[in-house]
Amino acid sequence: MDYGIDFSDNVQKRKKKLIFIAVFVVLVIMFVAFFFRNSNSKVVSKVATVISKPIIVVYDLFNKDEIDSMDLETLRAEYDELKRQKEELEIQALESQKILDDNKMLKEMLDIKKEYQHYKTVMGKIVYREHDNWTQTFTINVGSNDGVQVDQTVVHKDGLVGYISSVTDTTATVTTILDVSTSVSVNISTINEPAVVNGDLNLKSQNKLKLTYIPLDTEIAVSDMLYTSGIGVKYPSSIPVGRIIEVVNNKNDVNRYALVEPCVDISKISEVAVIIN
Amino acid sequence: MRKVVKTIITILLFIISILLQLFVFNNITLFGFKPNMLIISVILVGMYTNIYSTAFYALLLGFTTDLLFGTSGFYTVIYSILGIVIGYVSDNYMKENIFSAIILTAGGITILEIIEYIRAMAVSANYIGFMHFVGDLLVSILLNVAIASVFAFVLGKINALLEKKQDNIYW
Repeated sequence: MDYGIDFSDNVQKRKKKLIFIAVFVVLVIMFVAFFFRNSNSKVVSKVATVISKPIIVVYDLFNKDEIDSMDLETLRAEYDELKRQKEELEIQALESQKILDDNKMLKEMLDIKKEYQHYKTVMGKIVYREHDNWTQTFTINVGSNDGVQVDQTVVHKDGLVGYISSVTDTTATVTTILDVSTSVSVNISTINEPAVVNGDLNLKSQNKLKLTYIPLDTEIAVSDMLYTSGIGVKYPSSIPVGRIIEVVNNKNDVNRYALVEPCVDISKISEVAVIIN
Repeated sequence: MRKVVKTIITILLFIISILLQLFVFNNITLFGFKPNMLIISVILVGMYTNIYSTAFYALLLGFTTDLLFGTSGFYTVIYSILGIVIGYVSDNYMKENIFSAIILTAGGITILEIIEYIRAMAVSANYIGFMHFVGDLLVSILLNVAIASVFAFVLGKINALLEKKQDNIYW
């Protein structure tokens, strides 16, 4: 007897769903395995370079050198004779501003180079920053082709910025000292004792650091400066890290900590130097 | 014809969302939070396509994110799961309108923030209070919902235009 219900359609749909789930799970596992298997090889670097190269091109499009605007100036002057004087003045004003900006940028880069002249450094520009709300990283436009390697220190003229956490041929990801996964061994300037500075989830939106493991029976005060101690392989010694802005004395000395303002305002910088030697 | 146009729009959305996120939204912060254009684009794709397309779109987006930010497969997995969830909910319960975008954005962002917070907590071995986290979450949701509504509105208009053209062809 025919009840008018066709079950074959449901079976087809179910089969289709199962095949989709199986293929999808295999793909996810493949992609994740790709990262774990090739984490130290050049394959990920090459693939990531292919993805990041167009982004660098787009970045460069909006950050042209001054020489391009000179061609534009010539074209504009020829195009409108009536408004030529006004346009020339406007263009000159724009050029002057651009020259001032370029000068400022170059001066900053020179200051960084001077500050760390005893180290071999590679200058990099920040191309883009992290997209999630819980990490503090950014990507710079220098990579393994420029001698950059993982775990190298990244600095600004004012102080420590972070370290290189991953590298491709043309770019590198910098994990900053504000990131919750970063710990820096520091010396407190006035007492020359070591302590540890790290990022904290509670201070994330304030761009502050937390100073912990403060030696017992030591007096620390607001405005004390912190410098890298050089303990551990990652950071050279004597690089400014931050300044103590508040000391929180808990019930016992073991748990006391201090809030630190970093020397470098990481949200505002656009150039950094990577210490490669 | 409409399928071809939808595919083109999906590819454009993929490229635009990555560029917007990298060059615009990564530089905008409200109380320390940034909009997440990537998850919004998954939601927008979910509203106008089926669960399979949404899942694969999210998978590719997660893979690209991992390559760009060096996060070793984390976003591949997270975005894939979110793609399936968003695709399923969108397919079965939500209609193609701006309110669906708002609800899906709020839900998607909540799941993503919780996962990222757990990861940050695991890495740093410290934590924030529950109410502090809820406050942070609300800021993040509001920010993303505001942006999602704008894009959902624009996409809705494009979809309506395409449907009108399709109807005209048939009639």
